[in-house]
Amino acid sequence: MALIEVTNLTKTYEYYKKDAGLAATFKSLFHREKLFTNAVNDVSFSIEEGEFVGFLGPNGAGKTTTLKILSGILHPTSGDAHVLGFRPWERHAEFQKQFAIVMGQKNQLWWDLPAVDSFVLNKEIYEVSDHAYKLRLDELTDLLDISDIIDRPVRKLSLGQRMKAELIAALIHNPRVLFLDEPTIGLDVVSQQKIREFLKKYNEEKKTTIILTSHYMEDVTALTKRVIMIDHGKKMYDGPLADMMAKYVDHKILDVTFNKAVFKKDLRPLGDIVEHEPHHVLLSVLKKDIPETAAAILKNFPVEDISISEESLESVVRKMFDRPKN
Amino acid sequence: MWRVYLMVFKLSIMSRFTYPMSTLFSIGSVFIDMFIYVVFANVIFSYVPHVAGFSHDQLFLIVGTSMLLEWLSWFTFRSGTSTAPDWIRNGKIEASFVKPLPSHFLALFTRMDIEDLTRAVTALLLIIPHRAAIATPVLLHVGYYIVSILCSLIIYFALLSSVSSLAFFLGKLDGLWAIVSDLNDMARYPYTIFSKKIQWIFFSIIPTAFLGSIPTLILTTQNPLNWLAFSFVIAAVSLYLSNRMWRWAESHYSGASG
Repeated sequence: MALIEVTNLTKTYEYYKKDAGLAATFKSLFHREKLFTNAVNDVSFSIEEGEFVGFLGPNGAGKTTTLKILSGILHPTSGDAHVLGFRPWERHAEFQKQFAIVMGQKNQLWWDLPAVDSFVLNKEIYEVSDHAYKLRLDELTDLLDISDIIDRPVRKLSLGQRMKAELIAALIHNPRVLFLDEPTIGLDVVSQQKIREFLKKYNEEKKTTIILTSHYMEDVTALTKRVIMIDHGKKMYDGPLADMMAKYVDHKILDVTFNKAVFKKDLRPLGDIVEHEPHHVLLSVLKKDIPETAAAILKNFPVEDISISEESLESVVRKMFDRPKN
Repeated sequence: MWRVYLMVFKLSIMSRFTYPMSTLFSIGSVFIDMFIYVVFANVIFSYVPHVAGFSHDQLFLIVGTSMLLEWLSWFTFRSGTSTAPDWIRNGKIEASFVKPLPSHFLALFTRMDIEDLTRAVTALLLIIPHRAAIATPVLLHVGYYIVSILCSLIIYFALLSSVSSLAFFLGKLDGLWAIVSDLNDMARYPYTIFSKKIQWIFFSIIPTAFLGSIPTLILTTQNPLNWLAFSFVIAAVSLYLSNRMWRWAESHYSGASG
């Protein structure tokens, strides 16, 4: 049996329509129109032990709601889910001892105290023995390279250091399943890279099952082999990242630098202009047309440098969601 | 759970003393609050030998007992019940849903306020002399009193946690807290000053009689066991009901953005 099994999961939120302005506010005291939105709509998937799965979708797609249901924070409206053999929203202590959730925009550490004090609190909550705690702390601080800052007040840490400390707090009880909701949000490029390296290594060494949601495509491409993509609460794609790229990536990017200024109108017949400056252009060109287009550019324009690259995953995702729904 | 409470208690003290001057000001302000209250109680009660069946000394015991309970509440759940509505609204409450302890405990025992120790000192300065003035206390009565205080603390927790759980549906509870605060003040007066109908409310729906008058009766009457048994039953029932209410309310939680 899969470690995470989700069957026809649906979560419907109720909300009230309210127009802007003071008059509408008073009007809504007497009459409110109740509306419903399906944050998660009939989603099914299963995840095996040790998998690292990327959960993708635009804002409001239902990614976080799904993670919150799988961690027992929210109850679903219908459908079923099992994580480690438990229904998450029944909140069995035995289940809660085996998973962790890290939300990039929420802080679980005591703000005015050194991070290590929050780790000790989690040690008590999860009933981790003194010996196991010491070993885990040494291992995690070493892997994340923050042994020198865990005794500083959390409020004095940088965003990247704080996220590393959040990860330690979440992993101190050695969970079998880890839910990560935007763990790199707001971090600088170097910190993002460090967190990615840690997660990759941790997943490989511990075989922890990880579901990751992220806005940064680099996170997904660097860490996951399988992606589940949802939009408007519906599952759009579930499979290998490479297959998705092959299926939806029919263009390549030509990155050209010129010696002299080149007008946009002269480049337009060659492909879709992604970005244009007088001496530089990014052109999206059909894969099959790449040789001819590259040759034409070299022949007709004052080229200083030219390179070919893959489309970014972000544009692939955008393309997928822009397609008309059947 | 006990170990986690102690840990939160330790962290609260450490966190408070990160800002020592602020903590000292808090201690000072609680002390002034208590001092003003005791001065006014002295003025009011010095003109009356007894009120509605309670003697002059018993009246001070009610005041002292309610202060003692205030201290105990701030040392356990009071900060948690005050901040829970905000945490429900901004989603911070979610951390208590995913940990292997009852969320009713984790969400509401979040911080202990050290400055409220002043309340305990003031309470004892009232309770000890006024109890001694009635008669030398029998040790057994002191034991009953301690048990009744624990029952009252549970009743108080049940009352405030039930109010907090309404935030899962209402969002903000600003107005309700003002009423709760008024009821709390009423606990400093003998329940017998109210009409029978209101007394019934103070023994059942909003059991504030247990936050002052009843422990005082247990400490000062010859036969306190009936009151003690009554307190015990109300504590057990109110804790059970508040826990059910919390669990039912949190099952309707729809997320900070929902």
